[in-house]
Amino acid sequence: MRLQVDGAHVQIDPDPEDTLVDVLRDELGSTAVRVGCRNGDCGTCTALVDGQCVKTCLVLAGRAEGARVETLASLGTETNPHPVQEAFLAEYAFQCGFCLPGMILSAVTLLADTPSPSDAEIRNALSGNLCRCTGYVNAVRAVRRAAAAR
Amino acid sequence: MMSAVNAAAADPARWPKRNAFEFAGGTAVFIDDVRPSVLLHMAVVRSSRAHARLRRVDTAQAKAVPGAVRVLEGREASLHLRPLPYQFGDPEMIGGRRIVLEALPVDEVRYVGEPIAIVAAESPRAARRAAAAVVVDYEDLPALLDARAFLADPDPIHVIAENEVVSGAADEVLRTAEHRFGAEFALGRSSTAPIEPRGYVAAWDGTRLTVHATHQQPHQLRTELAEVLDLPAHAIRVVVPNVGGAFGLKMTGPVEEPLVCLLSMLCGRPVKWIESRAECFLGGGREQLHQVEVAHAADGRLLALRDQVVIPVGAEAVSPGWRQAYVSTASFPTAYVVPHLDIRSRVVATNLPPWHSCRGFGKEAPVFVMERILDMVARRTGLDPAEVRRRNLLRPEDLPHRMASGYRMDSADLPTVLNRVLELDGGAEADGVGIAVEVTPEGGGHAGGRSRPGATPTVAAPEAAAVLLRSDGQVEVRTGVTNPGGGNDIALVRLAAGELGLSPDSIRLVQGDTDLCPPGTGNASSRGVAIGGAAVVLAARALADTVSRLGAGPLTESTIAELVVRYGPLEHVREYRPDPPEDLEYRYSYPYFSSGAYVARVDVDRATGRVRLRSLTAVHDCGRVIEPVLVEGQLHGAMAMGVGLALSEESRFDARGVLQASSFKEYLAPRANDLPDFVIGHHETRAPHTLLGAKGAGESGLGGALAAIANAVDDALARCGGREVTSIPLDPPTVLALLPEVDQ
Repeated sequence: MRLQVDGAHVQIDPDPEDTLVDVLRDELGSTAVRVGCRNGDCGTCTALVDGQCVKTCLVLAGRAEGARVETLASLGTETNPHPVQEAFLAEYAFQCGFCLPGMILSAVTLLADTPSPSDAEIRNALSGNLCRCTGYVNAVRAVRRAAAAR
Repeated sequence: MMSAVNAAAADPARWPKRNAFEFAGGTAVFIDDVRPSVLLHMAVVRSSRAHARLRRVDTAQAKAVPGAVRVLEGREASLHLRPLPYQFGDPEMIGGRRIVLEALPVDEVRYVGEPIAIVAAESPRAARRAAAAVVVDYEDLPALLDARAFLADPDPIHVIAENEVVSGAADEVLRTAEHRFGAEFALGRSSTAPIEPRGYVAAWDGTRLTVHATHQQPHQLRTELAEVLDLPAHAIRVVVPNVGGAFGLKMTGPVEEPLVCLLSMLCGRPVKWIESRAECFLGGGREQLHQVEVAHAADGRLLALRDQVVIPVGAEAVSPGWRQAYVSTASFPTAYVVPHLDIRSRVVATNLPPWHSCRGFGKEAPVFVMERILDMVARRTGLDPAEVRRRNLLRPEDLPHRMASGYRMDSADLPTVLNRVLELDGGAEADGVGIAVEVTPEGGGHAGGRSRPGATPTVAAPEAAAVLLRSDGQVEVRTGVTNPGGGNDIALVRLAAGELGLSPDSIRLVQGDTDLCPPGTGNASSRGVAIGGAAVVLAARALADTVSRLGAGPLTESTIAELVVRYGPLEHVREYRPDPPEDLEYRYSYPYFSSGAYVARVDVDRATGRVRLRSLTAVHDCGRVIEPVLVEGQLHGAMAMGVGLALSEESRFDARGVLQASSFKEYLAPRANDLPDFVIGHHETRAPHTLLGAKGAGESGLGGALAAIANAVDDALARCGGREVTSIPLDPPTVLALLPEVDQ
């Protein structure tokens, strides 16, 4: 099957039981999607698939034939971070950082549709991603900050 | 395609987190990203019975599964492995029962989920298939699954320890007091559930074993592996990559630790094991049953408290989890003066998975019980709950205070933190308001009580740090303290930089590598900065003294490089432990007590029983605050976990001992839209017995949030004629059962 991952065209031969997160991690070596539950609950496998924010542990690899996948690694660079990355870093919005693929990409997706979200909209947008370190206080602050910076 | 907006000249140093962009950019390496070549994968065959004799474990079909390389059951494993050593010292030192525990059982399984056999295979999928092909023949035995079943038939065979904390004449006071009441409190079993589960990669090269582990305690893991695998410690290197949260889960003791290493040694190839979410949820703790009797005066002062406690710690295990039961008992009566106290606990082994260390480490249960008692006294006397607390709180002039257990509360200003949180609380409209005062013994040293006559008093373990100059002009700090995500690395680097007059960018920190770092306790009991940081400060000071004696000017990249050329790295190693106890009659107490006060406001949906947390406010005292952003972060996380324990998190098991909450769909950890913004104030009572005056943050907040929310729900229920709150979690069915019947 063919995929476009973070701008690169790749061809792979997945096992029929593989999910997209398996392909991204095990075939392509990505560290920008992670496995926390394989059940769609925690969100750390999140990537943008054809522009949609998707939990890749719930997508059979075969269903992603020809898809354009963008992971957290595609967003910005250390010297030129994406505004949402910058806001998460500035607000100390994470501790261990394991949940960040879902947190940041969910925030990016929210702000694309809703440039000035309410706190309730921010909390709903982040609610598909579990964090056990922070209590979400600083993550919500970070999304507010990113919205204000736009 | 999204474009990165140019944030003009982003300077990583202005971000609080070290190596911050690795995390936000998705390049940080966690255990599952460690991928040596020719890697094998381990899967674990687990018991489907709560208690059974193993008649036969048949691995023949498993060995025939394509990709399976090695299948090992208990009998064969026992030829290669010594029994597991108990963590945190021998149980008999603290009056606990010892049994011989093997990594894989030979004769008997003791809980659903207990490992019975292991498989190494070419892929995780092949390993799982082979594990599923192992056939186990069981002969069921009677199983004990919960504390109430134990109380119905309290067979001493289940009791692994008994603790009592007694002072005064509680019996007599309870018999004669005018105002008294009884209550039964229950805390549900809960888990830690970091988003990254446990995982290990073991690689044996014929002479040396290298173990990558997502772990809190690399040195303890090395010691354990050396003993179980019968290797010299120097033949083992434990390396900890970035850790995706721990909260106690990733301490030493789970049997998969030696097992994955054994498979690597037998197969001559690296072997990885990554725990599944369902396996991760097997572990848990915190479950307790308290039967209390309280005597109080008409003015709300507590006179006597009796508490008969049953603490079901799951199957016996070498991991330190079961020791939390000791801390619970010894932490009574928390922040208060109770002249007559009689706390007796029985620590009971059951046929559920063993306890693992859980954030709170047993300190949360007494806070819940005491705070419910204080509110019950307020209800019965008609006094304001805050006023009842003021009349019973230890005052600053009472401290240091030797508690009945022998724990020594070093310092605090409890009335002030209570008054300040009441001022800080925004007073939002809500169905119910609850307050709680919390004390959190920290710094390590959990077994309270008097020593045996003539015994040497135990003291807190030290932490150590090495500070040295590098030829590249940087300063390297190596510490025995590890960082499972909470960010103590930030504080350690800033402390070293401050002593050496350098910017934090000039410091390279090494954590979690047993070949490089001095021994230490890793991450436990909020010691990282208060004790580990003090060791860093002492080592950095010693280096600074040497540099000044050598007549070198202020340290810069070039002077450091020159010093290394002339004198070598000038490595200085220093150990630090808090001041030793003054009273040698007692076992070592926790060296410092953090404290705090909390106000929760909740709405209760009378149709569904659902509780919504409207606000949660804290004033927290962890001594000198070294890094405010870290302390707040720790507190946020602990408070969020406290909310979860109060309202939704529970590891439920069915009547056969099978875990019913094996995913985040059943184990309801708080999500972003379940929580409000927390409001936090700080109060500083410096620790008299630590170098930096710091006390440690990380566990405090959990018990306080949990108790304040329980009290707030109780307040809401009382306002509509409901019954008193006596258990957590307060999930919708529990709350519905407490609401008055007219509502239903």
